[in-house]
Amino acid sequence: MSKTDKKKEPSEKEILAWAGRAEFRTGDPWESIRARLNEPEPAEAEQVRPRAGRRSRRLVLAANLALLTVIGVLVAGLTGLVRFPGSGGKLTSEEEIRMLASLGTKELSERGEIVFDCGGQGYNLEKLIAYFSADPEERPAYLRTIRFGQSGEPHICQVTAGKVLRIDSFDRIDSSGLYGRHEVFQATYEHIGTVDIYINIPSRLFILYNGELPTEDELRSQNEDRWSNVASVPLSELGEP
Amino acid sequence: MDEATRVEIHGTADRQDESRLLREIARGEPGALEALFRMHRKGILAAAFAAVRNDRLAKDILQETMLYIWRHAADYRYDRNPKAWIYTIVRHQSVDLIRRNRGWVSIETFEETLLPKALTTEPEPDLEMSLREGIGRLDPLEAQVFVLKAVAGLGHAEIASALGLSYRSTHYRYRCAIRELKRLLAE
Repeated sequence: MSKTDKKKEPSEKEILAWAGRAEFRTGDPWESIRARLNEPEPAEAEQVRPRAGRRSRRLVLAANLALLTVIGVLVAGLTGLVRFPGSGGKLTSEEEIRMLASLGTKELSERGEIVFDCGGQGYNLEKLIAYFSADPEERPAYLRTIRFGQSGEPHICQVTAGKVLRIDSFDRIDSSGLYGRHEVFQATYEHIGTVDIYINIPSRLFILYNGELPTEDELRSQNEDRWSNVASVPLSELGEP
Repeated sequence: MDEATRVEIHGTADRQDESRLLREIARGEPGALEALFRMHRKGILAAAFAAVRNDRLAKDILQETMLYIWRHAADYRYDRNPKAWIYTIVRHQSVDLIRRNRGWVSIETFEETLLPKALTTEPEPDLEMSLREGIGRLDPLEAQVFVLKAVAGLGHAEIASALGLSYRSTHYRYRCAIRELKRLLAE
């Protein structure tokens, strides 16, 4: 066998025996250790300590779990897995309606427009309207009367204050975005003129007014496709401002 | 009596010895500390060397570990495994020394040390490599697991406790170390 041949691999037992035969030529440090036994413990030694106790580890674990829970709830809320009051969805209580209405009023006053996700239930929108109607002193001056048309599948309604707008396009932009799992539509509007406020829901029109009332023909003429449903809401039935 | 039973009885006896020594050390008996020192000197040196790869620091760690045990034996909980407790202290002392000496020592400097080789094996006809060299060529964590098992005589559960690893991870690291040493020793 030549010297260049690879040697046979040792077994695990041989390796353990090889390690067990290790010699340590360090002298005998015991006397040095013995001489230091009465030394005061240096402050630095405080840093060297065995692992944290079970209680400490449990506290850290509990804190981590709490943090994970908070993050999980936030993520669930942002992704629409969980609904929070005011984040859209069905309006089921007066309190929710009040919260949404107050949020909407604020948005309306600051940005001139408001988006309500009505959760596909015209009934809930009706409750929202009832809320406004029941508190005339609290509602903004421009929210005096609301009428709405037939039930349908509203997903979004938009209030625009102080302007008359015409829908130029109406596109579906997301199915799981800002309003969770509800379909969200983006409408492009154009200012055209006379009526104070419109609440617009896809396929239907809700009118809010406190000024001059447009005639049905005027509304029809502004956008034949989108405003044709106005015919199902006779303008004569709209209440007086 | 089969091998496993003998090992179990031997391990239990060792543990009782160490627990008794720790009680005596807590009462301030230097003789007990010396007995513990004689019992674990080799294992502590090997474990420290595997961690810091430096002879002088390994000896320092041996001293500091014994002094720590002397000062803190009263804190030892007797429901714990004494070996795991001792080698946990070795690991913490190693980490602490590396931190304090950061800048002039690292695990890569072991080959450049000018100090005499403290850890050697007699040349073997078939295994022509010192344990020191073998440890130096292993991954640091695998080296620690290996010496705790092969030199200090700890079981996998004790190693896991001392190094803060899971049992499975300890077992895996040990297998990796053995595989690598087989390869190195056959070269």
